[in-house]
Amino acid sequence: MKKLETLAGNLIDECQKLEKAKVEVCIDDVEETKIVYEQTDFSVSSSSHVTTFGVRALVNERLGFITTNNLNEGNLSQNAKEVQSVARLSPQNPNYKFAENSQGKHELFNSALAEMPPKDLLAHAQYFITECRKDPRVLIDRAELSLSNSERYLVNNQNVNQMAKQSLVSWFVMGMASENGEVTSFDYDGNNVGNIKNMESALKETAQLFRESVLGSLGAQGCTSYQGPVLLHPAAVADLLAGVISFNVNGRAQQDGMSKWKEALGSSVASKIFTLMESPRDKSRPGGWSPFDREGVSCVDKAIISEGILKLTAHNCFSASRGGVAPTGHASGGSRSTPGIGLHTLSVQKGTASMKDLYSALNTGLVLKRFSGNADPVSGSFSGVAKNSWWVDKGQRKQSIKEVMVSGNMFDLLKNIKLIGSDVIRQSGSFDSPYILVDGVSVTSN
Amino acid sequence: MSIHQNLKTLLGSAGIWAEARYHKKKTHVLGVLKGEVSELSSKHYEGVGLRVLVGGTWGFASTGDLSMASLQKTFKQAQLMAQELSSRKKTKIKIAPSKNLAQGDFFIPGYEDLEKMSWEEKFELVRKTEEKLRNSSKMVESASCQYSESFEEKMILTTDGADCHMKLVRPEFRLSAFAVDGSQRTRGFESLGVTGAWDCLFKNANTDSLIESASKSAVSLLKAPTANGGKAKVILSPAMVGLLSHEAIGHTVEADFVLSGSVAQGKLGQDVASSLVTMSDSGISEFTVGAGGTLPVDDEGVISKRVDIIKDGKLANYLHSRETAAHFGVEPGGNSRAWEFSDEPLIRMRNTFIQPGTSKLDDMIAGIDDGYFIDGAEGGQADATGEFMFGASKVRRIKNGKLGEAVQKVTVAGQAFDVLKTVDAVSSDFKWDLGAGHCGKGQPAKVDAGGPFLRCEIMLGGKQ
Repeated sequence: MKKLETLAGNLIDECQKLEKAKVEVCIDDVEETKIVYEQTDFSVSSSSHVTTFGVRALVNERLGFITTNNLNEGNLSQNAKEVQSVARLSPQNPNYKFAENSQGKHELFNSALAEMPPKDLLAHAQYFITECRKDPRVLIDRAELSLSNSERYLVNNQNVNQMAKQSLVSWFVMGMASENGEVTSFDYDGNNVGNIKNMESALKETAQLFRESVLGSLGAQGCTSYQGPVLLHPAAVADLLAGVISFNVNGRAQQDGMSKWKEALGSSVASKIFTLMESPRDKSRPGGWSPFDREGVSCVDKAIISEGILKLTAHNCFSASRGGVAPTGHASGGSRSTPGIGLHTLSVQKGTASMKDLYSALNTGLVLKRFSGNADPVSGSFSGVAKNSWWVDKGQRKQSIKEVMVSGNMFDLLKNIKLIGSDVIRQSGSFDSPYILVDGVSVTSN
Repeated sequence: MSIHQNLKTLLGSAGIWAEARYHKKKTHVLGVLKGEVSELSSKHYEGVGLRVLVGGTWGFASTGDLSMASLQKTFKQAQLMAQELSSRKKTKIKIAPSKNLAQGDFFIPGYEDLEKMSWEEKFELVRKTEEKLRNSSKMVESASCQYSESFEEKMILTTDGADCHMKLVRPEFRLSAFAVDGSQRTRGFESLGVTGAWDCLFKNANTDSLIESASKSAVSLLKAPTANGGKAKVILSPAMVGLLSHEAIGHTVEADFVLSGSVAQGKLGQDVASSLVTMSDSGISEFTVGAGGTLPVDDEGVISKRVDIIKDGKLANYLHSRETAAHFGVEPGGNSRAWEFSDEPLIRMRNTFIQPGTSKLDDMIAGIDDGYFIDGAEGGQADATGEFMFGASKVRRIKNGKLGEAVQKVTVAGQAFDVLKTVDAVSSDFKWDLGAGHCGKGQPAKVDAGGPFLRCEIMLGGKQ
């Protein structure tokens, strides 16, 4: 990594030789080994090592960006010239800013995990597949297990110098169940670990959740059409509620008139029983671990919505400058993109209702597991198909459902949260939420 | 030594089946949002992906370092990966021989022309378009416009004879209008995407017509009523027909998905659609130039050809890689694609379409008493069951055989083959119309889709 640090420093010097500029270099160095299982067999084993550089130059209030995976001592001058020539095209804007005065070296590194040979990774993949297919009715379309060792380096000539080193094993499975000629909707699940000790139990848990979901989708039927309450599985909470919140807390979306929450900071945007937290430094969720953002600003845990009140407007350096506030550590993206604005790992605070309480409160209606459709974060409208979902009749779980469409408005759902479950389920290794009962959903069955 | 010579040397001494793919991708993005630059960038991603077949097992490794030493090391790594996996591989992979392995140059016009055109000229159009769109209506509070172009150069070599050099460019143009009325906020969106040059990008629409359409769409949605949920008789526009072909049928006939147990498994030769329906996927831009998913050679070195998926209502073919073609005993059609050098090839669609029929659009509308005209394709997804959904942003009622008021965005859904069996009219028009759309299947892929207007029954999500 020292070599990459030096290269970044040399590139900044090279840019300065051409014209006085503020320069930022973001480097992602990623080594990955991956095992792929498709259909009924292992498919391919692969290995890659890619280093990408994202370079931004701010010349006389004009901003340019280049990204390349081909940067070396021999072509520094060429790359410095290119980023500055891109910058010259840009109109001047006083709000183009880089982060200042932020340093740190961060590690979430487990050497036993990082040095795992391909043979052992393959044994873990075999274990995962065996667990997923414990019931032969489960079919796997694709499953992957990958080990990545990555380093991110963020440096600029405004006294920012941040480095994060991480080892991570992540996996996902996508597939369906089949019985007597019936094929269910597909579902997927996944997780990740940063420590080898937790790996086997986490693999087993993912496999179990996946298996139960697709097997539970067998025997699907239509249901009664109605407008009213729906119980959201944590996966549907991620699809519908987290998406609309992420878009509307975005400082730039608010400034540009795209967000409904332009002047909503400090006011009620959700039911009083709803609290959403953000935890970028939570090492138990290594897939979302983020000690600093895409511009080098340190990230801290904070509330997004507390008891229904909006607590955050998320900014990168540009939107913060435009709004006359400090950046909040929400510059998103990697070395191959310019910094956007995005939230980190999220957790919906648990409530007090047991599954029995939730089913009783729903009485008769739909439990939505996976939402497959379009959700417009600007208007809040959503419309799509309920997948891997099931019907509850008089407080009892009944048949899985198929060809059922759901529609409504996500802003209304946030206000119409009626009850929150007491058990938190982690989605894709990074989003924690219990089941949530909402009202005002239109359910249409064929 | 050139990269081509290095790859040739590497494979020449391999002693195993191997494939080498050099891929250079240079992408420029010019974007403006509400009068300010949202992105000005130049992205360069270049390297080599090496795939080997050892003991009937795939191994894949990639590198961005193009030196011979790095290529040799990466090649050994690919072999090592295959060796490790082969002990657990139950069914050994075979490769289908192909008479269509590409040799020589495959250059699609447009690469040099777009490369020569200045950034200033392109950026000026983006800036002016966003400004005009933002000022197109009092209700439009904000607008954005983005132009991107992706220059792609590949060399694909295999030990059994492919040795080709391919160049193409894919420009795209997108604009969005955000309209506001009190607490109501809506978005109107238009996009274009082709494989070809600047003139090709704007061959069917100029920026003024795109501005008018995006602005009208956003403003009309502010007041539009919600559609009624349930099954309805509809006319699908070429964009929606394309999306239906891609999402509802195309994914279920990808041979890897078929082998996993998709609903198309075992249905070859069976009636799956109305006899009016013939559906194909092609790497060639059929009927008219510029289709966005045009691909002369796939990433296994197979020359693209048209694959008829449904012929006169009967399921005729699946989409194949060389591996699945060997499994089914057929000729591969050029559907194996990788997004970047560091990705291994997967079975993907290219340009997917339903062939035109003989009906007139006006007559098709006149034949509906109560239904909808559905256009403005948004995102979509399909399932192993053939159940699909996709969004539509430009929807109008049809009452007593006449087009009526605009309604809110809807999601349409159904079981693919069931929907195609309800087709009772196919128009004589044809248009590629997926715009700047991409397909996601682990990796992105640039695809296009289109067709004629089509009349069928479909389920709409809406109010109860």
